[in-house]
Amino acid sequence: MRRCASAIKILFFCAVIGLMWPAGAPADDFDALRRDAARIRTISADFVQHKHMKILSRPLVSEGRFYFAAPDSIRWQYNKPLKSIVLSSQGNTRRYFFSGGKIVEDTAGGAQVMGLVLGEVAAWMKGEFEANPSFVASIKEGADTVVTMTPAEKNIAGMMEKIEITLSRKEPSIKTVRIVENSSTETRINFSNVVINGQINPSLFQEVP
Amino acid sequence: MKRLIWLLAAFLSVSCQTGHEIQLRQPKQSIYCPCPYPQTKSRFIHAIEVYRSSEAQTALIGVTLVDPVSRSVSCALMSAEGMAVLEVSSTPAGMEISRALPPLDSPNFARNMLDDIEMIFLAPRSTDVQKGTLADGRQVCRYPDEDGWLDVVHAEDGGIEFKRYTKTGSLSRSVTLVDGASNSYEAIEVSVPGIFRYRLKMSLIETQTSGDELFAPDSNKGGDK
Repeated sequence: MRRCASAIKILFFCAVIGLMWPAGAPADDFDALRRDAARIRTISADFVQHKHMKILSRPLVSEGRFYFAAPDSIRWQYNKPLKSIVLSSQGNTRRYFFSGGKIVEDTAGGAQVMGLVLGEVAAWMKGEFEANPSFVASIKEGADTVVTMTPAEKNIAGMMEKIEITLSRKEPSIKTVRIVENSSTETRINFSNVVINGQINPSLFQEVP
Repeated sequence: MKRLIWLLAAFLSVSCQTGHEIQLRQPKQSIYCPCPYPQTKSRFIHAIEVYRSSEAQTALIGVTLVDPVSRSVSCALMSAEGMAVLEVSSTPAGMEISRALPPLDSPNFARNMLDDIEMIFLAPRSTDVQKGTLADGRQVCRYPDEDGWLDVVHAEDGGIEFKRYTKTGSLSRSVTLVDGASNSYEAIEVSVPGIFRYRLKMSLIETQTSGDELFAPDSNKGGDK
């Protein structure tokens, strides 16, 4: 269960850290990241996820939308190919999926795993990435800024090789999060329509759909 | 999470239920055996809903790659978020688990899942086929093997049913390829009877006919057979 939670944690970690990373800030200035993170009240963004695996001849493409409201409300919604929604707020996490034309709560235990994951996401929202013992971060400047995070813990290293977060230097937005699990398996998440501190209806974190 | 473990563990348990459709009768007319199996290397991506009652309990994404020529299969299970929790493959040389996160890290789970996939997507190995009709009049082709037998039945609604029986005549698996779909594997229902009864409803997301890509098992590695 812990490894499963860690695996999903990585996915959320990548998404959150990527969305919160302020493009334009000095890339090696983690203090600036922390300060900027403290100013974020809400985030919303569309995402397209490409899953590459050896068994797939072309990537499996998923699409959805991500919402965050400080201090700890998250809605992580996949619209296709499998419709699912994770809601987390005030320590309560629920997972839903669509079945037979209606939305159904996942009762098989998935929400428990997500609760563990999203509990830690709240800490990341404070911008304390350097303090996370699970990864060692390095930065490469170029046309874009690429932050590479390498697992420092053995159990995570067994599941993935690295995370690459590409930040645009031209626009104030994240471009891509790339999670490399091994030489043939990786997940790439491209974000678009990122809105920082926009208005989000609080019911989005409480109700589905 | 324990319930998820329990559900998935049930997936590989072979439960006992007395079969009642095991008497073949002589057909009055010739019978052709259903052959929905892919003839070339093919890939199927399904949404999988897991039921233990009338309502689905969880949903996964399953990827299946089958090669009828080499009788090789590969399979991956992913969460809705795309996190691969199981990647496993099998050739006649053996099985290879390339990724398995708890609670799906049991070799028995992988082996039983691959057996189910082979039953659904690969033609029976046995050439000793018995043709006839069941007590309810449906036409059937029966394939005996060392573990019991497999009945492939023309369903009343035009679909195809696979029924796996043990040597003692207990039904261990029932699979229905629902008719009316453009692809034989567009809608699949798997039912496991008994104490740990559960159902899987698989809805096709995408299918591809593969090129010449290699299967996952490394030829330099040994198998479990």
